[in-house]
Amino acid sequence: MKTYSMKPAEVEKKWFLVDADGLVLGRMASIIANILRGKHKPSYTPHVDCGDNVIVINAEKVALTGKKKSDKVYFRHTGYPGGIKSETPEEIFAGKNPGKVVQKAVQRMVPSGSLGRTQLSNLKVYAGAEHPHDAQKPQELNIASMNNKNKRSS
Amino acid sequence: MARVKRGVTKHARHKKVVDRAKGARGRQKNTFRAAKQRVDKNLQYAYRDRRRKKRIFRGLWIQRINAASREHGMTYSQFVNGIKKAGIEIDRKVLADLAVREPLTFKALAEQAQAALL
Amino acid sequence: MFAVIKTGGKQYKVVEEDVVRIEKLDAKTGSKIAFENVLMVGDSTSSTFGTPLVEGASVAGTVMEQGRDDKILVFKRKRRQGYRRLKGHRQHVTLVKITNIITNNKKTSPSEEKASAKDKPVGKVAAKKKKATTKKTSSNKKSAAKKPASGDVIKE
Repeated sequence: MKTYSMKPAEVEKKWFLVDADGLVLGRMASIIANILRGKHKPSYTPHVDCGDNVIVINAEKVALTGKKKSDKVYFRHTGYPGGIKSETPEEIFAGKNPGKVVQKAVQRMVPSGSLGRTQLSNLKVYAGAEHPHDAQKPQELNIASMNNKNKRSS
Repeated sequence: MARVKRGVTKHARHKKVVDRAKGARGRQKNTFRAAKQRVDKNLQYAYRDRRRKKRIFRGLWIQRINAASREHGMTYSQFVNGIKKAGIEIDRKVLADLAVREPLTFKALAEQAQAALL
Repeated sequence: MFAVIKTGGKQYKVVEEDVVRIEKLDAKTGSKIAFENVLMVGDSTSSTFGTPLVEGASVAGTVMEQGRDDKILVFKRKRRQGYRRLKGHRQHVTLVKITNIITNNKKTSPSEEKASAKDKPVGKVAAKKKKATTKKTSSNKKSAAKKPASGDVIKE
């Protein structure tokens, strides 16, 4: 008998919808990353993109515990000397792309590599409450009910 | 002793090694001197990885059993504990296969594990 | 219907007409063997789990080939010490074709099985009697016509 291995043609992807309003960032991102990788399926195969698609709405209302909203720093470097740049979640939420906080959090929990990048592309983050994926009929994923630490009412 | 020219046998010996280096990069797949080192490395990795294969597959089976038992409301550790307490000795390879190919049977196993934990 | 057998230190999930490659057994090519260590019998609707063995169940098969596996090169080397060893290895394997999965026809519930877990299955004689009538001619035809899957297990 050979251990089962999923073929890329056999993969069936579902769509999940997550409302990030009031959810703690890291806990939500961890669950989303697991779903993107496909680790919730018994037919999980590590070299195949067998995960599901996830839509996140209300990404600008995601909760951060402690003083992280003003004190957590995202660094990046342009490659030039003295080119270190930084921003805080507060600035990101007020800026052009508020969904970057959720996107970054999930990106850092998904493995690095070309398969990880493909898996990450199945995540769609929207800052507002609307999403254009009604045709995919996404299924609601209630993260707040999984653990009472997942939602903070601030 | 008759004079022997070594070309034919040398070529045969070298060809065996270079053939085993198929798929290597650059001169390592073409020339004997570079291929010899590559083939040595390949064989060493094969020795090491025959032992690793057993670990890797066991890890994969455990991940699959974990996902399947969570669908039935248990974690992997609770499931395996319940199975051992129920006296079932099916190993992880077959359990993972059942989880993928025979989901109803796996559900019955999960119920047995739950019952044994009570 | 499938069964889970234990042989050669490993477990296998088998259905009828499967060809299984297992560790060497002392049996002549073409002879019939029975696996008494059955851990589980089931099908798409129901299953019986042994605690640890299913009572009265056995899996019958015929030995198709007794041969050796593909060659594995065992190579060890220590760098800078001038130590290198190359050895070839071919493991002895037996190819078995599963002909029949036999259960004693009473379907015991798992709780009943727990109570009777200590009894060893006596089934070998009973199983052989059942096997006498089962598809002997068809299994011979199939083992002659069907080539082993890998093609490099040869008769010694």
